Amino acid sequence: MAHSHPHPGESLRDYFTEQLLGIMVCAGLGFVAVRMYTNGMLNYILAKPFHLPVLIGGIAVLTVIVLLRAIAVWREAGALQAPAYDGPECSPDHVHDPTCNHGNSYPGHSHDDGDHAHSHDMSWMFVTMLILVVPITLFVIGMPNGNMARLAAIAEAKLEGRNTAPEEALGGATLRDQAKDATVYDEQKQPDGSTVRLLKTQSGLQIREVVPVSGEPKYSLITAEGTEFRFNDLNDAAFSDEKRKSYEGQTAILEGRFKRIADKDFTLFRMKMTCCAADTIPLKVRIIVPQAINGINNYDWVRVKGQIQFVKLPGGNAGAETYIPVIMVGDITDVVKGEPKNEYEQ
Amino acid sequence: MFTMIPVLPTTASDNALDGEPFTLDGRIVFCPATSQPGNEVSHLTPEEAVSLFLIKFLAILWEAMPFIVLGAVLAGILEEFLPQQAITRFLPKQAIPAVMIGAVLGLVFPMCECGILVVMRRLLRKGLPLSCCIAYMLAGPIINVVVIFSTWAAFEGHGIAKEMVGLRVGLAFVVACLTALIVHVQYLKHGNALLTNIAIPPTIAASGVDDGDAAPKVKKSIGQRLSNISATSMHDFVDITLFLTLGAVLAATAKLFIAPSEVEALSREQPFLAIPAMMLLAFLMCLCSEADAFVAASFTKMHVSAKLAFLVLGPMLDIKLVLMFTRVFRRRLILTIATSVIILVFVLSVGVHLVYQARGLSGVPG
Repeated sequence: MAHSHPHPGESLRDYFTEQLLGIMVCAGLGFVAVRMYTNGMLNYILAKPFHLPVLIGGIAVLTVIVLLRAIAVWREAGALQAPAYDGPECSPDHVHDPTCNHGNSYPGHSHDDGDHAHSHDMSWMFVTMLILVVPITLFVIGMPNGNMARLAAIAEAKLEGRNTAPEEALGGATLRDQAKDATVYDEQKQPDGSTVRLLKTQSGLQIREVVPVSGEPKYSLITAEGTEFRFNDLNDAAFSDEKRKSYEGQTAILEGRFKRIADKDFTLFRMKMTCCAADTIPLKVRIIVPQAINGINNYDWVRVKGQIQFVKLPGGNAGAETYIPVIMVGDITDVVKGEPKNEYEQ
Repeated sequence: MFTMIPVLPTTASDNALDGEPFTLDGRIVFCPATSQPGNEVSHLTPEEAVSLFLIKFLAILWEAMPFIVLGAVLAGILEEFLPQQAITRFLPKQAIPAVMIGAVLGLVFPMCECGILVVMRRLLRKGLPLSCCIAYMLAGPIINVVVIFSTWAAFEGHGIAKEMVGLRVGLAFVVACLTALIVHVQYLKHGNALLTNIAIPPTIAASGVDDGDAAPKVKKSIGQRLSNISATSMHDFVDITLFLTLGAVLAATAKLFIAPSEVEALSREQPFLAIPAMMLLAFLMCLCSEADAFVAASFTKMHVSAKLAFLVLGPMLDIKLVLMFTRVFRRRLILTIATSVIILVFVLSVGVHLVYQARGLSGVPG
């Protein structure tokens, strides 16, 4: 319905009140949209491709709706004053009310709407405005922000953990046993007489074997420079044999929230966001460390570096094998606490 | 390549690796965890619950907002410039072909489900047949280039992309066309009583003036046109955003109580509940049709039919959509659409499930 003029029977005051309230609320929403874009608040709730539409939407609201409407209403109000009126009602402290009859002609209106049944109950108008003011108010008090995003991520992880079986610690062969059927791809004699060998196991795990002149050989994991990996890629790769093979043994760097499972076994999780924070899913990668970790609490943000491996879980679905990605950390210093640049992986 | 590092003096940390059970090769032995300090069931603190609610609420609201603005501006322009009955000249007269064309219009005019509703109300006013509108409204958010691509991308890693895309598009087409035809029958019976006042095309007899036709009338100034456009846009924007906000509140609240993992766990125990459970989840989550494929793909253990039900029902019917429907359709029509969509999606998804069973396919990736 094009409200370019008030309806017969509707008071001028109601019409203008409705228009002004509408303009104010739209101005507020448009302004908040633009500000949230410029100060980066959208990072907490929307994926990058959706930031620009918010800016454009805000600008569109401010121009098409607010500016044009404000000008139109201004002119309409101005046109009302135009007829010279000497009638008795126009005393200086006259208050307009529905019975006033200050002229019936309005600037260029068109009779194109047929829904005069639309109710102009003003209480409905105020309720509408109250509800629409909520997101504006939230912006004014600083929401959304990074702390909220953090708490929301933790809440989602807790909700998810409520319904899945508790994760169990992984066990298995020691590095020494693994090294038994590994192939040696580099061997160097050290000045002090010991030998250092670089080994690669069947599953692509890279181990350094140090054979001293006397005593037992020592094994440790080789950790390279490492590249940033995405939780999504690691979890997707778990489904395909060739992708697993291509990732195994590479050194990955991951950041996420810590959740302890056992002394040397924990889960790193990160929220994956596709479009907006309403579609986030927690993605997990298991981390195995060489020594017990202290000093990191559940849900702290940590950065981890280690070799990628895939572990098969028992009990598949009708014979289907399920693998999970695991990061083998070589040195405890490769697990570092920090603050997130972005809560979400996109 | 690795550089050779001089041997460091032995410390306790070097030994720690050797003695402890470690991972990993293809054959893993599971140790039941003896102490699980991190695994106790944790309840949400009030700040966590409130933060989760607000983040979800604001996300749904601000993601949809620009598309509603777009819809409102388009609605204003259409209301002002589109002559009455202009569109119907291009459509076939019979219902069935018109409906089928409506269902695939999304390929030409891709539009988010929120924006579609705003525009459609004005198109109805301009004489677009209701059945055609319904077909476009239901199928448009699924049968369009963006969503087809994102569905494919979401399932490609699991190897079932072709089936998911094909089935999603196919089911959406059938559900949209059948629902539109049912609505058509209702329209023949009830006429414009199905629609809210704004959506009803003004009849020539009532207003006495034919809107925008060749009849001679006062030429409107550009100022007047802009004023009308802005008036319509503001009205539609405020109207629909109000219900979007209410819908976002409901969806965010639902998220606090129903986690996707619950649905997955439930479906594991009662397989025949998987389809209705996923349909309910889709209704409550109010996801955009670009993102929902990735959410569905994350339910890795679920059967194809359950994921399909989620992906076909979600863009057609969810809390925020139903609330926005009330601004365009009357209750009888909303009930008709909802019932028809729900039943059709359920029946077709079960059908897909049975076909998979009959052919001995597992329907689960991996």
